[in-house]
Amino acid sequence: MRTDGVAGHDLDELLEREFRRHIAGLRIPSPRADQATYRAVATSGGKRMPLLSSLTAVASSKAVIGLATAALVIGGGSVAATAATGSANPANWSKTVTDAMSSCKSRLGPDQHGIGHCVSAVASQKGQQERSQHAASAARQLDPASTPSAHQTGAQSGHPTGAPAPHPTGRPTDVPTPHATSPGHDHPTPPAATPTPR
Amino acid sequence: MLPPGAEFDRLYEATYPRILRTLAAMLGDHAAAEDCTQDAYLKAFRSWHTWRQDAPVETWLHRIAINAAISYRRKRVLREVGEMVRRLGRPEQRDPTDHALGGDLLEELRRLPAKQAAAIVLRHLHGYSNREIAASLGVPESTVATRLMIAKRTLRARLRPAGPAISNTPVAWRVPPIE
Repeated sequence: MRTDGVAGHDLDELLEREFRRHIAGLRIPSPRADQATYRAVATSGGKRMPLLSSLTAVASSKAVIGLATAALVIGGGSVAATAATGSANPANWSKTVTDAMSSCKSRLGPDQHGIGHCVSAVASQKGQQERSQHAASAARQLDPASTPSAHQTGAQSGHPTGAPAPHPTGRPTDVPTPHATSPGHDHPTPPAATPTPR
Repeated sequence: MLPPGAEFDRLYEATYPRILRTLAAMLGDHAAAEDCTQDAYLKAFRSWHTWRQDAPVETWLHRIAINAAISYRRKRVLREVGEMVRRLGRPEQRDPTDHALGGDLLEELRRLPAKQAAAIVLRHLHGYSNREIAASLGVPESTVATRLMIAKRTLRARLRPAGPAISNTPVAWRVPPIE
């Protein structure tokens, strides 16, 4: 259908004619409400709820993100506490802080207030000491000359795993090697038999 | 607040053919138009409390239905792009049962932006005034007038028969014949 192909017809008339021909003439069976989707959903108690379910999904994902954020914040706090006290054990954190508080209170004069800075400094100092101890311990574990640690596992480490056996295992060889020397001999013993050429 | 069942049922039976025809004109696909129409009535049923009684209920239904059609068209475009990417290098195989409703004019109408196409359909299929179209699309009347004007200008330009290629080509761009 071309607009310029029909003389005397403008676009409005063409549109209306096309709509009458192709759309208004569509055979549509008389609608029955009892077959409509909304009735099916209403009677089934709202099982088909794409919009609501998608909103719920979005809300759930936001809740998950929120929980993850809260966990990170809490985890961040524990990381800070671990860094300050040098220990991953929460019981040690509180002990460190309690000790620091009592120490700082004893240092305060009668007209002095506020022990926050003092507690922070003491806790940091304590944490530094703990970290130094841990670092020294880790260095000993990584030192090849020291006893292999039970924590060093894995095939790619290149170090032996597990504790060494206290005694050599296996049977000793029966024949000594030619270079083996006994305390009373300066020279190796000759071979017992030499094949004679014929 | 949900509408009384019998009242919404009557509304459905009275308005369904007109809503379905609007979407069929916009989408060119009878089955898709039916799906979108059912979705639209479902949304209308759920959001009945948002209908303000100062607007005709059919224009409110049309707004929901047209939004459903716009959403469907977006998804269809994405699907077609995906299929085109999968089909790269292979000839297009058309489904023989896939034939759009209407001729060239309606085909061109469906290539218009969805909101312009909706304005044309409401005006020339249902005879809506600019005010009714504005209520259906949720835009000012001046926007409706602008959309109708742009849509018709685009349709005229697209449906104009192509003239001789040589006469429209600048002389400097013509390629000399190979001897």
